[in-house]
Amino acid sequence: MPILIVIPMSFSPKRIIEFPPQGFSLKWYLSYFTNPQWIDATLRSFRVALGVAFLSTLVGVLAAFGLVRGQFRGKGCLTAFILSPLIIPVIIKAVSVYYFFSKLHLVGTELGLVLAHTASAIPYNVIIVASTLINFDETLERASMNLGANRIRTFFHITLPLIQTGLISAALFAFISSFDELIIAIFISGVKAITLPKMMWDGIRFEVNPTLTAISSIFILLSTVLLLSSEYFRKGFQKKGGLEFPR
Amino acid sequence: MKDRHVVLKEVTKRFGQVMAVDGVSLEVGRSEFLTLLGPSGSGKTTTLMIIAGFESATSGEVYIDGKPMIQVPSYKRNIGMVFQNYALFPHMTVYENIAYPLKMRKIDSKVIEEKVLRILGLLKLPEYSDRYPSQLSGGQQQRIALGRALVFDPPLLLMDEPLGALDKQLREHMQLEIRNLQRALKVCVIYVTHDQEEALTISDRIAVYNHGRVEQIGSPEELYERPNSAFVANFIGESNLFEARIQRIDGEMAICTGDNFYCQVQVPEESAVGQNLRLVIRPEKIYFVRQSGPENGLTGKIEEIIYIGEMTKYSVKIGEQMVRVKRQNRWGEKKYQVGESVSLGWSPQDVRVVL
Repeated sequence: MPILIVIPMSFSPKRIIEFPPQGFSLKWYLSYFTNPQWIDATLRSFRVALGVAFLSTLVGVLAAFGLVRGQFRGKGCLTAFILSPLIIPVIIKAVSVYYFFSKLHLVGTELGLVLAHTASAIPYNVIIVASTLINFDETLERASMNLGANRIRTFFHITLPLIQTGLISAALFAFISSFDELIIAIFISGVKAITLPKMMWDGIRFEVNPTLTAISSIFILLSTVLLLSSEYFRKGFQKKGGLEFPR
Repeated sequence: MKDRHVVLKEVTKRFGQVMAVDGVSLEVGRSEFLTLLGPSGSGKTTTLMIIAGFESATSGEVYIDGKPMIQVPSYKRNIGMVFQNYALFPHMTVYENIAYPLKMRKIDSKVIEEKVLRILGLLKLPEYSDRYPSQLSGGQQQRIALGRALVFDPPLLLMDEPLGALDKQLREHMQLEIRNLQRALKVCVIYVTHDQEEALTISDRIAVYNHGRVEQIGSPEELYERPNSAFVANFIGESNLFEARIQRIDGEMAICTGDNFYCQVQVPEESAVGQNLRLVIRPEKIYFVRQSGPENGLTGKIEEIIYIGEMTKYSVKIGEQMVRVKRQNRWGEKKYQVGESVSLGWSPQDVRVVL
């Protein structure tokens, strides 16, 4: 509920943040959409989040396949290693990535942001994709190969369509986690690659500008749309017998 | 067999310390229906998986149509297969499922449509082509799986307990349907089941599996009438097993005695006096006699009587052993009571000496 209060506040005509708002105006939305700095940060956040979604899902799928299907020594240790970023505090990750990336000249670049965010998104991705894969009936792959499809065609015709809800959930999750990530962004953004959350953070620190309420409202709307669309997609897919990851 | 389609030579599969398949050799004819029958874990499914190319053999060779198959990947073997749980693709319609093997063979879409519709007609399911598998009953899914395995005209069809999930009535109906389809298409079928009744109904020949080996292979009649081992005698139908010792040999016949009984049996040539034999006799071949004759004699007490409609089953205690007897319920058949003393007899030709 406190989150929703932001929405009416964003339509306030006054210069201070207040509730309930007195009057109605779209001036803060206008100020957001006409300020090139805000738009620049927003677009950057989108680019970074898309990159993270793609990269972490790709790595997540490959790792999950290896962990679920493979049989090799040290599988337990490898699993623990892949999931280990989950137990490290974000601030420690942020500081260590900052030192590491500064040597590689990745601080202040979008690539640096993508890599850092991907590293924290991978464990979640592996968990989501692996739990989808565990529920996947391998007999279907055997049936496909028996019917004349080689491994690659089997993957694209049978395996991928049946686990795609898991992949889409994983990608959406990675997207959202990168899009509203602040702490790593504070360290890696530098002065050149400022993301939307970083810019909002700066906005709160230096001046309490009601433009923030407009941005927050847009943020809320966007997340809601993303979640609803994944839900809608999942339901439509389940009807066709697709797999979903257990919640 | 000169017209053989599938040949297995000394096929062995080891999982760690366990011999799942232990030196199996089989020959299957071009339009033969062979069933691999055995208890679970006896290696019959593993054998099928090796033929399909899903498991590699530890040693041995598989030939299909004269060509060695061990190095050939499953998608190039051109074998139809029906899986235990059907393995229909849940994200494809019935039509897409059946069209799948044809699509993988890059066949023209017009020809695909023609073939799929023909198969759906053959299976009497033409109106279901747009449904998804989850919208079909078990029996319908079973037919679609069969259709998908046959649509590309494979010369060999493998079936892994395909009727296991269906109820008894539907199962019996499908047995006949599969049998008729196999005869019509003249396809070679290797069928796995643990249900001996199903195996007897459906097969040309049956290979009985036990502990990774083929115990005996033969027609249903051979296996039932002339089992080689106590295992086969017990696995296919009911039987009574007796331990006996040869007392006297008279040509082909020998007089044997055991605990509380004596009998005449036809013995193998190399038998000698004093040798121990294991004898098998089917419950329905034993009858009640007023007095024991010279061929055989055993006397005991009826412990249990079960009426099952066309037959009555008796358990007769002879010494320490329980002997099962089945008699048809005909007019004039004498009625017995529990606790009554009875003498049993049979024709010497109905006794089998087993390993």
